[in-house]
Amino acid sequence: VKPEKDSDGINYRDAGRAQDMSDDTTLRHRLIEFIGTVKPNGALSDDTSLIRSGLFDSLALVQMVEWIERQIRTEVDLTAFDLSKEWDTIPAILRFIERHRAELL
Amino acid sequence: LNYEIVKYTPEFKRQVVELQTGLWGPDLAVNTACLEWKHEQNPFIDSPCIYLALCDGRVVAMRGIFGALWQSGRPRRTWPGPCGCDFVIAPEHRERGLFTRLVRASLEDLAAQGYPYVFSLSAGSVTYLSLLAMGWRGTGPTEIMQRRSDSAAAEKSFGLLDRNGLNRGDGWPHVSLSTSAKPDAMTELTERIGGDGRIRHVRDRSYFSWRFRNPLSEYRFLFWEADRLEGYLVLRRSASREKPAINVADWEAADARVWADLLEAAVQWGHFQYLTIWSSGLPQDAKHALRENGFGPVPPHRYAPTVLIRPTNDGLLESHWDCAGLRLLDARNWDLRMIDSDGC
Repeated sequence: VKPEKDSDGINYRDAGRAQDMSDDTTLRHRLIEFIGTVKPNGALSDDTSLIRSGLFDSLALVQMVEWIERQIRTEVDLTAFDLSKEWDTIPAILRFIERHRAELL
Repeated sequence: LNYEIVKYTPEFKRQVVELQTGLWGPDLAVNTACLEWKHEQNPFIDSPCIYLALCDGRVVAMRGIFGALWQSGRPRRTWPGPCGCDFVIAPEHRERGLFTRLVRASLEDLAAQGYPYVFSLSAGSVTYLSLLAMGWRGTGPTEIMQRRSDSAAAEKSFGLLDRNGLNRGDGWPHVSLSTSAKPDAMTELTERIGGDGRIRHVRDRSYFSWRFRNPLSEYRFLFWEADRLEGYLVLRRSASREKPAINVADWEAADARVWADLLEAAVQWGHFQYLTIWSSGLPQDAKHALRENGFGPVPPHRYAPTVLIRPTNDGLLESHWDCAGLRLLDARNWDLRMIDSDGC
């Protein structure tokens, strides 16, 4: 688990406090790490809007698609859901991944 | 940098066609013709809907919306549904939020004009993703079929088609080849055949007179005629040498024989290396003809053509997206041809 720090611009205190090494927590931290690599200069919390705010530009979106599909291990039909809503925040993205993982079981 | 978003007026034409060298091509005369054709001569919109970003008075980005008129239901209802098209941002002004500002400006203006929805059938990958990020939804990938010839003699142009079409043999005595549309006969045919209630672009005389004048495309028309026109097939080739693909842009027929004859003539006369068609909306007779002539499905890819849709009013984002009683997001409700995309 990545320690709390702001060296990459991510405020882990708000966004990803790790309490254990459960899968969910690991996924959450991987997501936060990913966002940090794509958009390194921004404070991040569960309420931070990634999509609707325009924080994620088209290049970041391309990377987001690839990252989420790696987590789900299948290709996503991007037109089949409201991307601006279901990928807008960290909790929303986690719910999206969990739902799609469950559908594959 | 400070940007001002304004709506297009003719004083910006020169700057817009210069900006379009980043999308349409390097020839300013062709770009001017394309702008005039798509936006100024378009019979389905009163005035051009082009939204510009200015920086120090110079045009640095644009978003175009072209007029389109759709029909659906039985009896038929028609309704305007403008479509997003050209999007260009000068390289030095990218990643500065101009995409969002231009799309937002277009939505507000279209809403004020009374258009409930806006569509896009030709978004490239970047535009596609960026529109989804602004609340657009899609109907899923359009089914595409393709016929490929591995012969060394296979054509990437209309050369062989033109020669064989002019010297037509006994195979398809009712089929003829032309370089121009027949708006009156094509209108009469489509009126006679009628629609099945699905959403399709209106094909009236003004449409047929305007649509096949796209300066970025070359067209060939195969007509099946006895006492009157019973079918037509339109082939389209990009005028760009870098994009030599040939497509079946539009195709209508009164019965199974006409569907088959038109396609067989196109395939045999043209001997194309690749011939591609959007096949989702076609009737079974047409799909049967495609299979009989060696067309196979093209595996869908992530940014495959689709109908992207968005209400112009944010207040409708959470509602069902219906028009004339049909769910817009249901691909089965659309009867599309490749010509419905402005890229064709």
